[in-house]
Amino acid sequence: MGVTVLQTFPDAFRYGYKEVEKLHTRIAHLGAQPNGVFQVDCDTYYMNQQNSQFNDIPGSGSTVNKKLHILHNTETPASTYAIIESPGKQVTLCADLMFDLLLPRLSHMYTAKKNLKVETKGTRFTVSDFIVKIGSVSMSSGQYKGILVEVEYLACSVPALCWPILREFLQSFMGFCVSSQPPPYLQARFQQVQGPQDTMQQYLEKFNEFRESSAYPVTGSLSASQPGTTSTSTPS
Amino acid sequence: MATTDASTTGSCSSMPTSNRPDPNTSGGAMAGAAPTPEKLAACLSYLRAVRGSATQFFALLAQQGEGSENLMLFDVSTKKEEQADTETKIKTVLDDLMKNVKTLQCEVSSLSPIVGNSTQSNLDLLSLDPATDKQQLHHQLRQCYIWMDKVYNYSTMSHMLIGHSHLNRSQMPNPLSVSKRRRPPAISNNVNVPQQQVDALILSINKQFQDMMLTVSRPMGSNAIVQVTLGQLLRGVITLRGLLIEAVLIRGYNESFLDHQGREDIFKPSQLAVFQRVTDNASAAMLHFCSPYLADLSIRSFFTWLHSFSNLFTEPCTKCNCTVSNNSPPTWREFRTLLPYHQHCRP
Amino acid sequence: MSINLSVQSVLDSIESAQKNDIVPDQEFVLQGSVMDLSVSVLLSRLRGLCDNADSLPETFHDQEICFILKDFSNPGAVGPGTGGVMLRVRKALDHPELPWQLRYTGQPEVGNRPALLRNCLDVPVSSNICDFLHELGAKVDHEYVSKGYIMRKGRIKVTVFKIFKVGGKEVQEGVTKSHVVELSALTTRVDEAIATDLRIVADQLKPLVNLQNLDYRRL
Repeated sequence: MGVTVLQTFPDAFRYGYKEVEKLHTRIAHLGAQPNGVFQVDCDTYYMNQQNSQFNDIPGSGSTVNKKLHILHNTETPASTYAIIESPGKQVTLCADLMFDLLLPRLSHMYTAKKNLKVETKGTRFTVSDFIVKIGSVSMSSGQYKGILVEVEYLACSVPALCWPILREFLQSFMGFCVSSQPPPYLQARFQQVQGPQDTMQQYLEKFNEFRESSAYPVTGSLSASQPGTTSTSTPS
Repeated sequence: MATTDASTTGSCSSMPTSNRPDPNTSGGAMAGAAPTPEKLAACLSYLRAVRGSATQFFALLAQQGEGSENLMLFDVSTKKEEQADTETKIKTVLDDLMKNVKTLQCEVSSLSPIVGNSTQSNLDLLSLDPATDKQQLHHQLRQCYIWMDKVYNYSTMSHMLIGHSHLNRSQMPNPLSVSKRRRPPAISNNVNVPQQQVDALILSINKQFQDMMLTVSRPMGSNAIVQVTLGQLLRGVITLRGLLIEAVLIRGYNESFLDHQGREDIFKPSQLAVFQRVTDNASAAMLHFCSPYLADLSIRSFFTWLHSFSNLFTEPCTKCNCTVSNNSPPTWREFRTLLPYHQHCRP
Repeated sequence: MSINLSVQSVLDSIESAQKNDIVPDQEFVLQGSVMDLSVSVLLSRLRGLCDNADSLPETFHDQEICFILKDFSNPGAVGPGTGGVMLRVRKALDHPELPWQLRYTGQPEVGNRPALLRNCLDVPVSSNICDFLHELGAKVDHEYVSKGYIMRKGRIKVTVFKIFKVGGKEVQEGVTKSHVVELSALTTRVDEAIATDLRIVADQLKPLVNLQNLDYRRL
């Protein structure tokens, strides 16, 4: 497992497929070989508020703002990543795929928001020791959100030791949308050995950004994301 | 003309006795000499002339005997005339013979300045082997010797050239220490050294570098295997034979360095292109630093060089000033200055 | 707009597996107990019965922490699921390199069967599971250390173990003076044939230990 950097490719005019094609040709110029497809998906569960409907206890609001994100990555097809997000704290659990079957049993506490499901899929490329994944992000409704590029350098697992080479490689096909400073997530863990969980946490970060960006133009999805409006449909 | 005729027609019985001394001397001289074919042919023709005149002389003597018996029966006066006549005849023939012998002697003496069998070596004897299946051997052996000579010449020449250039920075601090390098008994000692000496050397190198960890193990008998861990960048397996580095293998920090039996894997190459290249360069460095006379110094220099990879992914290439080129970091290090270069940017 | 790629989603595979009833999420259990003094007799009997009779039974030494996940802020709530869900975290003390196990066991199902049937799920997880469950809102109910032997007969798992209290002391204190004997078999939703096999093995142990279909709800 190497160091992974996740980078949003700006697509202000929402060309979508055209921009992805552009990246494909650019990466092909570097000698990259397409090597299958990939998908990363993220489901989000909210802590139930149904009990407070019956019995409104003041002060309970501080504990309810918890989100449980369930992520899957085709790179690690036998694992489920469960990230619990509460204000100021994040715990990432790496579990077997069977964890998904456990989720319906937790339905009394956590409920899925179906329309918040977000995924990125696209083509996976390999070039020397780099793995490049160019994915287009979309919501479960099919709404296009943007382009996410993941670059993993397999030869090194500590960001501090290989950031210069990663930055140069990213800039070589994405241009100057790549800042010369490492992303905040990596900066916080600059001297630590990276694992698959770190990749997933970066994905979650980016997914959240995409969801929030959609909140302004599309007001409908904002109201749906509010914890409180209950759509208690549990996946079975 | 007469001599040649005589040689062909001359009686066989008389020849061997009278001519024995001549062919012997000439034959012995010819075997030892390295004559030109023309001279040899001339010698042979002179020899034939000697033999011809000798035959003529003997034939004349024999004729003389027969004739006198017949003449005695008829006339005595004519006998005396005849006798004087034959005497002059014999004399001229004898003179002729003497003259021929002299020229032959003179020719033969000029022909044989070198004497003896000293140049006949085993190689020449091999060429005389009559067995048909052995005849090739002589040729092959000769070719072999020729190539040996060539190799020897080249090696002496290259030794002279290399000796002048100061590539090996640590071996010759000044030209005066050339005599120091000539310590031939040290060679054999490098292969069979006590384990403590190897351990002590590796330990001292380990102390020299803070971020490089060396561990010695001996999974296959007395020869040590040194595992190098350079920070969180790379792992290396270095196989030693005594104090000589025999093989180097570099892998990524994440890659497993144990085989499926849980022992150090000293053969399986890295899966990553970068470290395959570093391995190639490290093997080249191993050969570069190898000096059988100062084995401990060569190991020390090698590890100093290997330590310079601690900035493998961060330091840009000295020439092109880029970190990534051809999707690879600068994987080559200059042997003396330890400056990073890309594989294709090497000076 | 979006690219049409045929990516086999990770989620699809587990959903289809569950639909086709190939996920072993049901468990038949029979439990009993035996006094410490008779454990060796039982073990030699079990060695004869189980597979790999020639080798010694494998030992295990696990720590188990039970969490209860429910809405603690609302103790007066009534309705389904208010009793909470019990989640057991298990780690092997003798093999720290193995992943931790998260285990969910449901309520025993009603019905007259040769062995107790309950829903169960075993999920290997990373070692930060306790932290995760805390954040999720679960609270530690109890924890213990179990130490004993594990054997196998076909699909049936046989465990004989003693339960100890958790403590920093070197000498661990047993909770009781007896060992727990447990026969269990994982199966899918549809396959119930294994229950009779379980009963047969239990009957063969009859003179030594009486294995029963324990109903927790009565305890």
